Parts: sequence; C-alpha cells; structure tokens
Amino acid sequence: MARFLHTADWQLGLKLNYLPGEAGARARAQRFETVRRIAAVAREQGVECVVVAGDVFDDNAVGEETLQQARDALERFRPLPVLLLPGNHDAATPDSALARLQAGDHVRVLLDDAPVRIGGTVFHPCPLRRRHEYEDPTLGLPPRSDEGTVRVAVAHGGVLDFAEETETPNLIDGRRVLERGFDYLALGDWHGTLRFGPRIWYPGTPEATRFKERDPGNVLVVEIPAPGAEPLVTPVAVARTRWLRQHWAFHESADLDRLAAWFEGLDERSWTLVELTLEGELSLADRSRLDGLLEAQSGRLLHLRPELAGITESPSEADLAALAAEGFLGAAAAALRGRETPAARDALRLLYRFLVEEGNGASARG
Amino acid sequence: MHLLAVEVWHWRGLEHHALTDLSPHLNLVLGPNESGKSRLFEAIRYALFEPSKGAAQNKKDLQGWSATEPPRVRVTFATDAGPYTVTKQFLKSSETLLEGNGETLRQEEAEGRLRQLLALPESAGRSGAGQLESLGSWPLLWLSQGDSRKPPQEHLTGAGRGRLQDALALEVGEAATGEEGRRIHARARTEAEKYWTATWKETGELRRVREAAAAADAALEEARERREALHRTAADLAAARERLAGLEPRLARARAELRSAEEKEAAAREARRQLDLQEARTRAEEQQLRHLREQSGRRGALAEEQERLLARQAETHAGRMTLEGRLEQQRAALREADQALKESETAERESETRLRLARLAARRRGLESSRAELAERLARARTLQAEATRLRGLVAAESIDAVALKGINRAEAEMQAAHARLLGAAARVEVRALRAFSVDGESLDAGTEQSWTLTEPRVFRLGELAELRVEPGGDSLEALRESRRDAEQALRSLLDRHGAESPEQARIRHEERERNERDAARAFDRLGLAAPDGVEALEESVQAANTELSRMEGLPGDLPGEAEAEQQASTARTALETARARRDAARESYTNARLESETLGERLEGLARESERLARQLGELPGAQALEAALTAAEQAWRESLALRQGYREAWESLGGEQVALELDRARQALLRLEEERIGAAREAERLDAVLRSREGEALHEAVQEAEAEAARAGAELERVERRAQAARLLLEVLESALQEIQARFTAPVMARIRPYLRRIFPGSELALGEDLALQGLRTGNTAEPFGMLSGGAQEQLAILVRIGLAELLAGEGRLPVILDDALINTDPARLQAMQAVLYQAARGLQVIVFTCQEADFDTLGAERVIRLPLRPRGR
Repeated sequence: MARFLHTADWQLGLKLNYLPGEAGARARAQRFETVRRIAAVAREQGVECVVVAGDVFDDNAVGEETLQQARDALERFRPLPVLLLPGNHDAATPDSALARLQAGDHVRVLLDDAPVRIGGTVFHPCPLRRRHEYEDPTLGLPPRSDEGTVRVAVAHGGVLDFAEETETPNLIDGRRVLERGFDYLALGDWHGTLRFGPRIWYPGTPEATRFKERDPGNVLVVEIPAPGAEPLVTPVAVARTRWLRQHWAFHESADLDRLAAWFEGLDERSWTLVELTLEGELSLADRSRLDGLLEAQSGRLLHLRPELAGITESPSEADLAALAAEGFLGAAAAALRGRETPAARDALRLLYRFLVEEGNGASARG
Repeated sequence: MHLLAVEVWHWRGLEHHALTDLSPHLNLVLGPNESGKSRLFEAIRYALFEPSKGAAQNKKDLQGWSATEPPRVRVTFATDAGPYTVTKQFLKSSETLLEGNGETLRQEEAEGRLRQLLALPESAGRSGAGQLESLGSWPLLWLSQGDSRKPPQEHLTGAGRGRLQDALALEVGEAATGEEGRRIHARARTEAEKYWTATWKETGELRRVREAAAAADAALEEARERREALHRTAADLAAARERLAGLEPRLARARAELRSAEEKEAAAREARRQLDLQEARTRAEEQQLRHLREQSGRRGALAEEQERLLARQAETHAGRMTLEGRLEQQRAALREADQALKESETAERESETRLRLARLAARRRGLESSRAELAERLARARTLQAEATRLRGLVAAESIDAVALKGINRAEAEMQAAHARLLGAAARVEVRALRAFSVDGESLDAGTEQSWTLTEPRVFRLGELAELRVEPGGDSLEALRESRRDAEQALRSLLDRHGAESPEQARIRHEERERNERDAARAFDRLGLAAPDGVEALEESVQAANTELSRMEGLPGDLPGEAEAEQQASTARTALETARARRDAARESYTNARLESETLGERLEGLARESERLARQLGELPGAQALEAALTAAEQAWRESLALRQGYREAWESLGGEQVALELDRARQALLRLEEERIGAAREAERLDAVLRSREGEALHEAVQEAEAEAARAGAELERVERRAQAARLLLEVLESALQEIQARFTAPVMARIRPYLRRIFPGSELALGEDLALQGLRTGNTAEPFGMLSGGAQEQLAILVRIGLAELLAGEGRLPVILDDALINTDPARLQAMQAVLYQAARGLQVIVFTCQEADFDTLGAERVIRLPLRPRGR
C-alpha cells in the first residue's frame, strides 16, 4: 500500500504585491508557515513521503533569503522524504532555484527523470527543463514492467481537456500516462483542487494567490492500496488566508446597512481578503457613507479590493436640495449632473461635500 | 420717489434757505462757495435718514454759533401714494412730523413710516445719517463733495447691495452669488490649487505622484529586465549545453568519415600515379607521330611550292621580253626630245643675247645723257669751290673775329666807364661874358656863355684881366685819371694788335669778316649740293661714264628695241620650257620602263634563287616512301598507348578520381568546423555559467515583485490623485463658468442701462463690473484699465455713470432722486459738456439735482428748474 501527500504550487517567493505594509509581510511569511503546516498534516496523516508537483518557487530568480526560509520550512518534514519537482515557475534550467536550494538530505529535487523508489512506490518524475515545454513532459514515461509496485507519475502542466484555462505549453495527455500502467498522476500547475478522474488530481496551491482561483488551500492525502487499485484521495485544508469574491447590488439605502452587517459577520477578518464588486445607484449621501464604510473595512481586512465602476450616483431630493443652494452653485451642480463622466460624478461629490460642510459650518456659526 | 422742496432754518449758519418747486427731472442749484449748497445737501439727508431725537455730536454740530433757535429742516417728496412732507427739528424740542396721504404722524411713528416710505433697513434710524450701513441704497444715489472719485461700491453696503440684487433678481429672475457661494468657490479653488497651477499645469500632489509613478514604472521595467536577462542567460546556457551534447555524436561521425576519406584518397593517389606515367608515355608517342606528320606535310608543301615557282618564272620571263621592246621605243623618243631641247636652248640663248645687247644700247643712251649732266655739275662745282676758297681766305686774313671784337668792346666799355668815373669827379666851369672878352685867347661876346668840364687842374687866362686856376678833385681824381689812362692804354693796345684805328673801325671790319664767312658757307652749301661727294668724286663719275661709254663703242647698230627683244626672249623661254617638259616626260617614261625591266630581272633572279632553295630543302627531307612507312608505324604505337592510358584512367576514376581529394578536404573541413563549434559552444557555456553564477542569489524575483508592488501602489495612488485632481479641476471650471455666466446675466441689466451713457463719455469702452456689482474699471478691446489707474476726471465720470445706471435699476418703474454736490470738479470742459448731456438724458427717468458753484460751466445743462442761492456769510 502506498500513502503519500500530494501538494504543488507553493509559489514560495510570491509577494502578493498589492498588499502593502504589514499585511503584505504577514501574507508573505504565511506561505512558509503553510509549508510547516503541510509538514504537520503529513505527520498527522502518517504518509510515507510528500510529493510537490512543481512550482515550489514562484521564480528561479528568487533570492537567498527565500531559499533559506524554504530550507527552514522543509526541515519540518524530516525525516519524511520530500520530492520537489521543477515546474514552469522553477524549471530545471541552469539557474534553477531548486538546484540552488541544497536543503536537507530528506529532500530530493527531481531535476531529471530518474525514478525514485520510496517503500513500495516508484515515483516517475517528469521535470520541466524550461519554462515552456512544447512537448508533453510525460512523453518519456516508461510503460509498466513490474506488476508488484505502485507507480506514480509526477508532472506539472495543463491537462489537455482543460487547457483553455491554463497556459498552452506543458500540455499533458493524462490518459496516455495511465495507459502506460501508472496508478496515479500527481499533477501541479492548476491552483484549485481538481479531480480529473480517479487517478489524476491537482491538489491546488495551499495558499491562494489570486481571487479567481477556485477551491485553493488544500493538500491531497493519497492512498493506493495496491498496484492497479483505485487511489483513495482525501483533500485536507491547510490555508490560513481566505479569499472571498463578493458581488453586491444596491437597490435601496438599507442595502448599505446590509453590506456593513456582512462585513461584521466575517470570521478572522485579519486573514481575509475580499474582492467586492459593487453596483447600483446611490444617493450622494449614501455614496459618502459607502466610502466611509469601505475605508473602515479596508483597515480591518487583510485586503479589500472594491470595484466601484458599477456604482452611479443619483442625487436624492435631499441631495438636490443641498445642491440647489444658490444661483451659480445650482447651475454648476446641474451642469455636472448633466455630464455622464466619472470626473463629473467625482466633481459633483466634491461639490456636495463642500456644500454639506459649508452648510454645517454655517449652521454652526448661526 | 422724488423731492419736491427742501427748506431749512437755523442750519449750520444758514438762517433760512429753501429749494422749492423742484422738477421731477433735471434741477440745477447754483451758488458760489459758502452759499450753503453742501449744508442743504446735508439737511436733506438729515431730514430723511436721521432721527430727530438725541444730542449726539453730529447733531450738536448742526447748531449755528450765533443761532439760538434749534436747527430745523423740511423736505417735501412725492411717492407712489402721493406727496409727503417730513419736518424735523433737532436738539431743543426735537421732533419729527410726517404729513401726507391724509395722515399726520409724529415722532417714532413718523420715523417708522418714513423708513418704510424710503425702504430703509430695519435697523435704520438708530444708527443715523452718518452710518452707511443704515442707509440702504441711498448713499449710492447721493454724491457729496469730496466723494466724487469714490467707486460706487464704497457706498454700497450689505443692505444696499441686497436691494440692488433684489432689483436685479426681479429683473433677471434669479439670485446672484451669496456668501455661501463665495466660500464654496474659494474652497473649490483651494482644492484645485492642490493639484494644478493657474494655467492648469500639474503641480503639487498630482505632479509628485505622477513622477513617483513614472519612477516606479521605470524601476519595475529595470527589475523585470534584470530578471529576464537572468532567465535569458539560463536559457542560453541550457541551449549551449544542449548544442554541446548534440555535437559529440556528430563529431564522432565526422571523424569516421575523415578516416574513410583518407583511405580512399591513398588508393586513388596510387592509381593516379600509374595514370600519370602512362600519360607521359602517350604524350611521347603522340609527339613522334606529330613530328612525322609534320615532315610528310612539309615535303608535300615544298613540292607544291616548287611547281608554283617554275610557273611564275616562265611567266616573268615572258613579261620581261615584252618590256624590253617597249624600252627601246622609249629610248628613241628620249633622244628626240633631247635634240628638241637643245635646239630650244640655243634659240633661247640667242634671244637672251639680243635682249642683253638691246639693254646695253639703252644703257649707253642713258650714260651719255648723265655724262653731260655730270660735266655741267662739275663746272658749276669748280666755280663754287673757287669762290668759297677766296672768301675763306678773306676771313682767315681778318684777325677781328667775334672773340677779338668782344675783347675790344669790353676794353672800350671799360675805358668809357673809367672816363665816366673821371667825369663824375670833374669840375664844371661856366663863363658868361658880361662884355666881350677872351678866355684863353678865345673871345667871348657879351652875353655869350662857354663852359668846360675839367678833370685836371687848368689855368684859364681871362683876357687880360686875370688867370684863373681851377683844380678839380684831388688824389682820387688822380687815381681815376690813372685808371682811364690804363683803360685807354689797354684799348689802344688791342686796336693796335688788330691794326685798327678805332673800335668803330674794328667793328666795321668784324662785320665785313662775318659777311665773308657767311658767303663762304653759302658757297660751300651750294658746292655740297652740286657735288655731294666732293668735286673729285664728281670728276671720277665723269671719268667713269667716259670709260663705260668708250667700252660700248663696239655695239652693233641694228639692235631691236628693248621691249621687242624682251618679247622675243620670252617666246624663246616658253619654247625652251615646253621642250624641257617633253624631254622630262620622255626621260621619265624611259626611266620607268627601265626600272620595270630591272625589277623583272631582279624577280627572275629571286625566283631562280627560291627554286634553288626549294630543291635544297627537298633534298634534306627523307624520301617520300620512307616517310610513309615511318608514319604508319608511329600511328600504330600511339593507338596502343592510348588504350593503355584509358585503362589506367578508368581504374583511377573507379577509385573516386578527382572527387576523392575533395571528399577528403570536405571531411577535414567538416571535422574542423564541428570542433570549432564545440570549442565555441563550450566557451559560451562556460561564460554563461559564470554569468549565471555571479547573478544567482540576487533575489531578482523578489526585486521584481517589490517593484511591481511599488508600481501598482504608485499607479493606484496616481489614479486616485488624478481622479481627485480632475474632479477638483472640473468643479472649479464648472463653478467659474457658472459664476461668469450668472454674473454676466446679473450685470447685464446694469450694463445695459449704463452702456448708452458710457458710449457718450468713453466710446468704444465697456464697463468691467465684478462680483457684487463692484466697479472694477474699463475694458477697451483686450485691454483692461483698473478703476484706480484711471485719471481723476475719468474716475468721477465713471462713478456717476454707474450710480445713474444703478439708480435707474433701483427706481424700476418709479423715480429716484440723484443728487450730485459739486461732483464734477475734476472733469475737463469737453467731458463736462458730455456729462451734462448724460445728466439730461438720465433725468428722463430719474430726478437729478446738481449743486454747483460753476454757474457758467452748467449753462448748457438744460435744467428744468434752476435755483440760485444767495451768498450768505456762514455763522456758527
């Protein structure tokens, strides 16, 4: 029986550069912490080894600091063997980061296609020797010659059938791999956990890198009872960060209150990243409230990315009353309302703000 | 509302003054200085705006020094509700009385109603006439002395402005800017200034973030480029190693190919050597064959040549025979021609002789004539020679030549000078006889005179009477006498030397000598003409002519004339030339024929020599049969050699022939190239590896991500700031545009009212009215002149025009009084005329009251009512 942990796309060295300051630092450090967490899961799950199917590093040009943090995190697996396959981000080129890694002796970098036997399982690596291979990297896999071992192919790239979702090079014909007598094809590259039949799996990235990734944050515990037997694959969540995409439409003023309540209901907001797409018509007053709400929430979340293009401002009766203050101000407000441009909307909001502030100021003086 | 009458009592020294029957249109109040115009102006203001109660200083000032009665004013004015009269008494027993519209109101009630009638602000009354704030728009209408150059806005307070704006709003239909609008405008400007300059150039935060974004983009570009360079280096290194690996089997193949090519080349080389030897042999056979063929060919050619030669010899010999006959004929013709030539030569010689003799005869005749002429010239020359010789003799005999005469003349002149000097020292003695007596024995008749000049002492015997001794000079006289004697002596000596008795004679003789000399010269000249070469030469010529003539004595007598002889000689010469030409032609023909004959002879000799040579050469060659046999044998040997050579060649070619060496070269070259390529690839791989090693660990990826983060942050920041900036700009632009538009609309009624007046005074100019209807200045074309920069006259004129315009606006359908107290003191006469026209025009809708001390200047005002104030002393 073979039992191993299948993971991929750690993308160490990825900086999540839209996260400024402290939040960015935490998110970056978290990727190494998640590797440690994978080590813990591997122990808990009693696996024989850990297979990382490519893209351990985000780029071959990562620096020594990243390499050292990776070494430190990989130490947590000892004595469990860890197999690291070069992917498209860290291909086995002469400047390979994996080649420079020099981690502990339990770590094996699969720079060539030499099979690795661990227990009763033989792993057949298909390393990418360049960032974009135009030939199927699994083409060289040998057919089964020994009936007594579990055979696992380890590769990185898109599977032909869903190639439209990934980069076109490094395409892999999964069925042909299985036809050659492999029990399992351990893949990397796709960032969401994905089953492509019972023997072909993508574990996805253990920590998401983008909002559009579907079901990231897992590793797979793979158990193959015997050669030819169907593998038993169990996803285990390891991610710390939560990446949420939320769409919100405003129909009435109360929707704004509901949005505020939604924010309040989120768990662990300091590890949550939100992409919020907003649409609908808001009064100028509500728009000011929305701006205030988003500003407050962006400080509380790990990251808030509001998409406001769908918001239009439609002055309410009260707004119009405020804007109809005096002759030329009224004329200016009317002129701005007549222009359907973002700048005109911004200018109208600015005017509205001045009017409100000056109105308040005037009443305060009065 | 307009004023109907004003009356004051005890008002700052004015006992009683009244302006009555004021016209609702144009009024002129004339009065010299101190006549009370300004006090009346002030009284109107007090009557209408100052509550009667109280004893503030301004009210106390109204009390005249000498007056005991309290100051009092009464103003009657017309309103829409009918005429009203307000009477106010200040200080003592102060009171306000308002009568009109059937009512009489007093004190506070009267004041309140009055404020209402005058549309004064609520606070008015308590502040008083001196407080601008309380007077609404009235200060705009009434211009006191000294305020003439103030722009109207200085008299426009909140309430006044409010009324104006109300009036404008009523007319325009909307409100103008307010306090809040101004504040928001100012905030919009401040907001825009955070990002933009006055000319909408980026500045401040916008510029900073844009520069930061550009810098971040550049940094990102650079970081990416560095990382990409590293990746490229790695890719290049991988490619180089791949190439290197791919080269090894190719190199092995190339080496094997080279070895095989070398073996083939050795075998082919041996075959080639055999072939070369056989080829040398074949070439020798070929040579022999070619030699024999040449000999055979030569023998045939020689025999042919010999045959041709014999034919030519026979032909040439026949030609020569024919030529010999022709030569004999030509020789005979030449002899004839020679004979004819000789005869012609004889005839020509004879004719020449005759011609010469004819010429001699002609010459003898000439000689005879010239001899006679020469003889005559000789005789004449001899005569001339004798005469000349004679005259020369006379000249030579006379010693007084020009030099001698010059000496005599000089001696005579010196003698005369000495004599004259002596006479200058002489004494003159003059005797007049009173009666007859004798002097030195010489009688003198009575009355006669005689005189002497004495140069030496002399004793005169005067008759019998006495002896008179006269002794002139002295020593000097003696010296002079001596000098004269020496001069005389010298002259005498010269004359003696030439045998002359006197200088006169000497001169006559000299002239004679000169004449002789001239005559002799003339004789010689004539002789020169007669015998240029001398008489002897002439004699010789005569002699020569004689001799020549004597030689010609033997000439025959029947000689023809020279012309005839010339003709005959010419004919003979022509005949000679003809004979000579014929002879030359015959000789040439003969010579040519002879040369041709000689040529043929030579040719025959040459042909004979050639024939001999050919015979010799034929003798040298082998015999024809022997030659044929040798040729056949040589041909056989050559054919056999060719067959052998072909065999060797086929053997060589079967081993690859020429191609083998090329193949070997190619294999060597290919191996060399592959080895070079391997070395190059290895070096490139080494170099790239070194580059890669040196760059590894630079964290270029992290640098890129950091740069990306910074670029994204800067980009987002730029987008945010840009958006704000655009909003601020747009807001300010829209606000200002709206403001301008509304101001333009708002001020339009004012401008429209003022424009006709303005056109009279400032043609071509437009009024610049700012916010709150503030008069800013004049605009002419593109040039703006601020109010403060205008001349004093222009300032007061413009201020009045604006006030009139505003008053018309305020009056609306009604009428308001505009009062000008000496408000045109800075205006020049021409403008004053124009301003009077303006006032006249304005008075159609307004009541205009002009106070002035310049009576004459306002003659042309056209006032309906003119009031002349009497001059009264000011008393306080």
